[in-house]
Order: sequence, then structure tokens, then C-alpha cells
Amino acid sequence: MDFEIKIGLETHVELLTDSKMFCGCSTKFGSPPNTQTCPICLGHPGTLPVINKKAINYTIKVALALNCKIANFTQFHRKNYFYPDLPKGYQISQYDLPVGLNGYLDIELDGNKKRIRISRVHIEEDTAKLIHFGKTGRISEAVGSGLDFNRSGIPLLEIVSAPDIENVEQAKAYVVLLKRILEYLEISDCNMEEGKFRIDTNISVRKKEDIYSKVRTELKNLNSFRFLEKGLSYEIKRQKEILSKGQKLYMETRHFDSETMTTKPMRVKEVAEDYRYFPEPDLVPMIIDKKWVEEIKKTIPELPYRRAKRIKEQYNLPNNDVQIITSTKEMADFFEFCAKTYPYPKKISNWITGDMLYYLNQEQIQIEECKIKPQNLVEMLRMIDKGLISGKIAKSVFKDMFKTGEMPETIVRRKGLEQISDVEKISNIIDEVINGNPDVVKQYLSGKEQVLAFFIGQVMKKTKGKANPRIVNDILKKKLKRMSF
Amino acid sequence: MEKISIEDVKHVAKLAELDLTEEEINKFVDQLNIVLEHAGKISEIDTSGVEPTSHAIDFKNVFRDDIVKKSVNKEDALSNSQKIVQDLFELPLMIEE
Repeated sequence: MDFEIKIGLETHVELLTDSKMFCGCSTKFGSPPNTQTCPICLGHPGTLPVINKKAINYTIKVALALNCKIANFTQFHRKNYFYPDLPKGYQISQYDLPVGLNGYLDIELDGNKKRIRISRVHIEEDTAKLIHFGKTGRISEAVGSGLDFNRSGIPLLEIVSAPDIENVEQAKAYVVLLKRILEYLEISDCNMEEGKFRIDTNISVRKKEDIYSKVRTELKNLNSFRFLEKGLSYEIKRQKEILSKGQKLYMETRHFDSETMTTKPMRVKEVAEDYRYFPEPDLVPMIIDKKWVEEIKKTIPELPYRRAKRIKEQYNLPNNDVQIITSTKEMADFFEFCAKTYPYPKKISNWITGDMLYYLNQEQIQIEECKIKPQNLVEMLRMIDKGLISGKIAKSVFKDMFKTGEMPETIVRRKGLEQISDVEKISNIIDEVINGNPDVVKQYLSGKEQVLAFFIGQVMKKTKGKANPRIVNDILKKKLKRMSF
Repeated sequence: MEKISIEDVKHVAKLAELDLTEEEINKFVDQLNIVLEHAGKISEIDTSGVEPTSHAIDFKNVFRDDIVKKSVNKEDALSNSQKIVQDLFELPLMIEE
């Protein structure tokens, strides 16, 4: 049976402002509960919200980066519904006049470009945080619940894609790229564990011939890339199976259970959603004129796709390297800082995509958090070029730099790791090795040239890896050649 | 003009989490229809050529700068809660939605 899959993603992003959307309370994460509140974000009657201009600037910035049209006239609406995390009984959100409309994001998969349309980018306020007590912290097993209003009123961006996504891989590529762009824009730290980047999905599977079917499932609680993949895969499979049996799907909201890696239905809504949106009477509309848009445009940095393209061309690097280097803005910055003062970009790239990435993954940290700065790496590369240290020693120097942040010279001097390039010194050591292994010499002279590696190994052992391998190789060959006469 | 029905009132009551008696529902149907009828007089005015507006005052772009102000202290924030648990507003037991 042929199926058609349509996936739309709704992404919520907490903005990186210092104060909340409509009041001056701090947005700092992780403070003791209910210490960053005031009558406005607690939803007391008679209080008046005032719009945080930076949040609007950030919304325009994101909308522009996602190729949206910026509304000249935009305003807030009240979205009315009852839930404990919403003290006013309504959320201040946007409805038919959002800041950004009709944009797109081009994702790339296996060299193929695919355009995902962005329906809208709007700004709203986050709700309070529900905390459930019980063994698991999940609502189904909660023995009690409480509310922390520190999150209430934090500026929350909503980015809605059109249902243009056709499979799990595309969904993942979209989310990864979107997150990367938002990080480049420096409007959110997008920390998924702290709930600052949250994904909801709409999935619709239908038989190809069933062109009128508009049934879709909303899937919530996909709080990591892995859960997004698992949740979508499970849901697509489930819907296909139901259709294959000739049964019908119906509209519902499902919750992803990260323990079983399956999706479970939430309570089926008896009445259709009815939010009774109306223009927020406490906030006047906004006019975003050309001048304002131009000002924001100037603050948009080179975005990942363009930067990757430029880095590839400017430094002549393979795709794989470019992909890793531009995976975060900070890593690309690190690379380009090095490339400014050191002439061999591929060598820089080799270290970043090799040892650097290895240790970053091992420590589970980002490049900007690690102790190695571009100067450290550049100095080390220069030392290798000058023959002061060997490539192998450099690996251990790098490891030390990663731990301590010291300059490579300091480490080399402290540990006595300078490469031995002194011809006479190396020559003496080679003599020792040759004289100590007459049998192996015989083998070599009888034509078994691969034993050369044995001699090199011995010299390295005696010098603790510090002998310059090129010089060792040259002298060794000369000496053995002389013996064959 | 369209009239508000018993069903409309029931629907709105449900959305507002209100339990109404039959008597109250009937009362509100009548009252709301009077309100609606009164508001409906507006449609007698010729508004062709008038831009739709959502606010009575002609203000635009009222903003504040992104500056953190002092929040209220925790005790004051929680003082309106009937029950407090671990510095949180305690809720009645929730069922999964």
C-alpha cells in the first residue's frame, strides 16, 4: 500500500531577554521557585502588561532569518483556555496578525535540497511550570502538583512549519538546522534540557488515493532529537498499520512516553478547541516600519548555510570538515580565528574535527567552554611545522592543553618533550640500535625491507617518541645502505 | 440578527468551567440576547470606508526596555495560595489530559 506522510512542526523557543515579556521580572533559569514573580506574571487582576521591545526585535530577527514577510501592522490577542499553569485564564499570544508570515527554510539531505515552508513566526508568553510529585515526576503517577511562576511570562517564540515534511530524516534535518540558525542569531540558548527549545508535531499518514483525508495526530513531549526521531517513527508506523488493516484514524493528541518509546493517547477532547481569540485590550498594536526592519537586518550574522558555503570555498575544505566546523557558530568562529593567523586551513580543520571533537564529546562540553583557545592551537601547529615537536607528541600536548589551557611551549618545556632533531644525537642512537640487533640487520640486508619499521620503533622507544621521524628515517636508510657494501 | 441559544450558553459555560442550573441557563439566554441586541445597534451605522479597529485609543508601539526590575518576595507571591508545598502553589490532584 502506498502512503503519503505529512509532518508539520511547531517549535517553541524561550527568548534570551533579561526580563520577561510583559514585566520586569528576571528570566534567569534555575532560581528557587516563585522568586522571580510580580503581580503581572502572577496574573493578578487589574495589572497591566507592557511589551518588552527586545523580544519584538528578536522576533523580527528570527522571522527575517527564516525568510518571512514582516507584518507592517501586528498585534497581540488573548487565547482563552483553562489550565492551572495559566493564571489569567488566557495567554497573551498572536492570532491573525503575527510578526512573521510565509517564510521558508531550505534543508539539505544527501545533497538534495528541500524547501520547508514556514507558515508563521509569532511571539507569546510562556506559562508557569507545573511540577508533579511522585516517583517519576510524570502527571499520570503524580501524588500532587505545584506551580512555579518563574517561567510565567518569559518571552516565547512560536515557529510553525507547513506540513511539508515527508519523513523522519527531514524532520530531524529541519529541527537541527532551525536550532543552529537560532543559535547563530543569539536570541535563545536553545537548551532542550531546560525546556528552552520545545517541539510539537502534527503527523498525518494517508493512503495515496485518499486525497481528501485531513486527519492528523498531534504529538507532544518530544524533548530531544532522539525522542523526536523515536516518537515520529513510532507514530508513522502505528498509523500505517491501522490504515493497512482497513481501519480509520481519527484526530487526537498523543503523548510520547520516553520510557516505552511509544505514543499514548491523551484524553480525547469532547469539544473542539475554542479559544475565543480577541485583540488584547491591554496592549496597543505595533507598527513595524521599514526603518525598524532594516535596523534589525543589520544585526543578522552570516547564517549557517551561507557560512558553510563560504568556508568551503574560501578554505578549500572537504564537505565533512565544513559540516563539523559550522555545526555551531562558536566552532566556526574558532576555526576562522585560527585561519586568520595560520596559513594551512586543512591542518587546523584536522585538529578541530579530530582530537578537539573527541575531547569535547568525551567531556560533553561545547568548544567555547573548553580551555583551548585559537592561539593555543595555532602555536602548536607552528611548533609542528618548525619540527620542534612531532605529530605524535603534539597529540599529547593537545590533551594537556585541553586539560589546563596552557600554551604548548609551556607544556613542552615542562615535560621535556622537545623533538630531537640533532643529527649527531640521533645518529648515535641509531648506531646503538643497529649494533644491538645484528640478526635484524641481516634480514634487512637480505632484502626484507619491512624490518625498517622495527629499527624506527626502537629509536623512538629510546627517545620516548621525541626523535624527528624524518631525520631518523633518512639516517637509518643511509647507514644500512652503507652496510650492504 | 442571530440569537443566542440554550446550546450557546451551555457551550460558553463549559469553556468557562461553570456549572449552571437550567434556571440560570434560561436566565442567561435572555440576558445575553438583550446585550447582543443592544450591541447589534452598532450595525445600523454605515461603516463602509472605516478601517477596522481593535482599540479605542489611537496609540501604537508602546514598549519598555529589557531591564530587570525587582520582583516581589516569595512570601508575598505565595500569600494568595490556599496551600503551599515546597514553595510552590499547591494544586488539587490533576488527572492526565
